[in-house]
Amino acid sequence: MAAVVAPPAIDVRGLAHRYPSPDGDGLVALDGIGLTVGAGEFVSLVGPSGCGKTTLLRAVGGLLQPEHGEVLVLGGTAAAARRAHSIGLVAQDPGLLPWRSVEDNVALTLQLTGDDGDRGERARGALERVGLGEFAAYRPRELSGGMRQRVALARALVHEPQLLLMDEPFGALDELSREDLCVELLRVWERERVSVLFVTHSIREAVLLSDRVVVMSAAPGRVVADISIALPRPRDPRADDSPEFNAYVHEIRMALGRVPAEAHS
Amino acid sequence: MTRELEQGSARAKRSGATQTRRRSAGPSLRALLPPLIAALVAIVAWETAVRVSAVPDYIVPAPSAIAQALIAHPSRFASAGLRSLLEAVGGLTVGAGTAFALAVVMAHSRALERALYPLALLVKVTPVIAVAPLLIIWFGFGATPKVLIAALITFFPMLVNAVTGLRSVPPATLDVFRSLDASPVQTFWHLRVPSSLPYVVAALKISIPLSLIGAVVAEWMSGDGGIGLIILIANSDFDTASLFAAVVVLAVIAVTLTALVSFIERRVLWWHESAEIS
Repeated sequence: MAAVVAPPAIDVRGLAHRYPSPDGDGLVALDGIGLTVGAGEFVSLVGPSGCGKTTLLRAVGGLLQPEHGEVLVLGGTAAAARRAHSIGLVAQDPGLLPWRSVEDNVALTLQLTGDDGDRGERARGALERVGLGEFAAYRPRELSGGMRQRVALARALVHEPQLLLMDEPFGALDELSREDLCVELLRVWERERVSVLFVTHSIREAVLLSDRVVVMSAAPGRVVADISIALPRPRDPRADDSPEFNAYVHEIRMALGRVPAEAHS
Repeated sequence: MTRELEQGSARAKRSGATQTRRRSAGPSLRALLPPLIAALVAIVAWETAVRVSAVPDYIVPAPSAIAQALIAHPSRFASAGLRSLLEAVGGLTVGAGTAFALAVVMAHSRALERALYPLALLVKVTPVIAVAPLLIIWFGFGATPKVLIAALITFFPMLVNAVTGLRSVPPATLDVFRSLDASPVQTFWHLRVPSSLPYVVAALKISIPLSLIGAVVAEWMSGDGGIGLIILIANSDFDTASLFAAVVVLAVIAVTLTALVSFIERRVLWWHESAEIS
């Protein structure tokens, strides 16, 4: 299998990071984090606000230099992976350029990476893959929040990265758009098998999408559980009421130190 | 099903957007009518008030007297107006251009911003009235000191706005650029410059009347031409009608330039929130 030969997409060891604080000691965001994401694996990070999920993701993306520890991305440093254009990033704010059309927003990636043969055609192809084929000529302002996030996903996938970093990508969306986008992401991922690190607040979203869910605690940020989700794929989003599914949700809740919720309707 | 709904709502939004774009495509006759009527009423009221109260012309001239002053020497006002216009536009180009170039440097380095900002502030707080005679001594008569004074007065608004504009980049977008290892030059052209345009246009709108003030103050001090000279002579002759006529010419120039910038703004900044309001 390819997974045996290829280096893990992410291999983080002993990662620690503090942010400056008024008292001078620094606010500990991460304390001795270890995390691996295998090639083609979908891993979610779940934890309370302030547990350092985003800090960890930024360190992996080479957007932040951690104080201590080792971050290997695709067998090299995070900066090297970034330079090789192997990373796609989707954040909560789609961050589209309002003066560009949807197609040109996706093409931006190809423009910046300098790999811009058939730019327009490839951008339109990426839009097709996220179900926005007809909207290439629209402006971001003319789209709904969910559609803008799909454009951001297309922009992150158009250069065929090996690793997709998603930081609460659906966090600002309404429940229904969220469900639609989860289904879309499942479809895209099951077809392309890119490695994904997915930060989320939603336990059910994490169980539905992931191969593994890594649970973190806050202040300082530590990994408290690493749970493999052995649900069959392709996953049916409507199967999220099955006893197995709810058992995983319960397990993650327990790891987070939450009183188990009463039977979910 | 939900997708269809989404598409439907996007179409509705789209037609809404085109409507707003069409509405802001240019000032229609109907939009121009209220200010025109207001101006007409004001002029008639002014004319009537002057005639009824019999105020002498050298204190408050009637609009008809101002119009006569303009019509009596059309070429004098036209050539003086043109001269002041060119000096102001020259000053605006030099001042705003230098300010934008400096803003690029300051937006990229907090240390340079801290070093240069006090100097820029010094330029701002120095009254033009105090510097103008000095520049006239240095550069003599002719266009140079006028252009420089107009440049000096327009420098600061553009600097402050451009620094803010170049920095007003959404962090999420900047992260995307960084994750793709974009070069500083790419980030500058594809992200910072377009983001700064609304601020730059706002600064231009502030600077247009300022640049005219700068040019006219310089002309008035050196007394060798332009609207400033007309004001100087009219003032010493108690020729108040010509003085008002000079002011009318200045106002027409300022309004025309501002309208031109607004026109460019609608063409270039259709994507910005401000396009929906104005």
